[in-house]
Amino acid sequence: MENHLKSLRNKNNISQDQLASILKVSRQTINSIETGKFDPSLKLVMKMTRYFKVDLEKIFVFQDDD
Amino acid sequence: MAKITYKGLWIEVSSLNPQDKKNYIRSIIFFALGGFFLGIHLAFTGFVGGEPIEVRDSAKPFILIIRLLVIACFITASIYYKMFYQTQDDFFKSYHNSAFAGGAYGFVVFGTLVSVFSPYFNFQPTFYEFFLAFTAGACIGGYLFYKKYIAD
Repeated sequence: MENHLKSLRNKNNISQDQLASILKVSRQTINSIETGKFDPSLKLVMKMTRYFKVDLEKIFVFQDDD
Repeated sequence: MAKITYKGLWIEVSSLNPQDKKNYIRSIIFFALGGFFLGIHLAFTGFVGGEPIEVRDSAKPFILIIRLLVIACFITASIYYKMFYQTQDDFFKSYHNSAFAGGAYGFVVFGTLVSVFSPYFNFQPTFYEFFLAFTAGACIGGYLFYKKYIAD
């Protein structure tokens, strides 16, 4: 699934390691999500929206063919 | 959180927090110990192939203790592994599922093929063959996950 996690992370000036630590996941998880390879669970998505204080649609872009 | 390394064949133990590291290492030690005792049991019963070491006295106290140790070690290992697994993130759990699904797939596919064709080759599969099939399947499952989600 396409997402804006990387740009959002850069905007907040935090590294993958830092974000992983905040969200209590591995850096591989963050990297895999940013590259669109891995779709996170709803729980992790909610953690992201809370941390960045944005709506879900501001992070993830759902397309019909996803 | 666990970092998946060696092309999906292992995890980096140093990436774990102290409690997870303890649980993981303990589970590995108990699995290894259980495997060791299981090997003794299988050798005694002849299930690994070839002639059993001791047929008549397979119920004597020594081998009974070995069997109880097998059960105790595997249960303890499973408890520690579950404690470790529960604290990991979804990504690791997906990796874990992929590896073990691959193992189950290897076991079933190999088992089915061997069962169907064994009469033609005069080959009697034993525990080792099935275990190797599971291991190979688990490695392939782990590698495929690595290739799909981690490799650049």
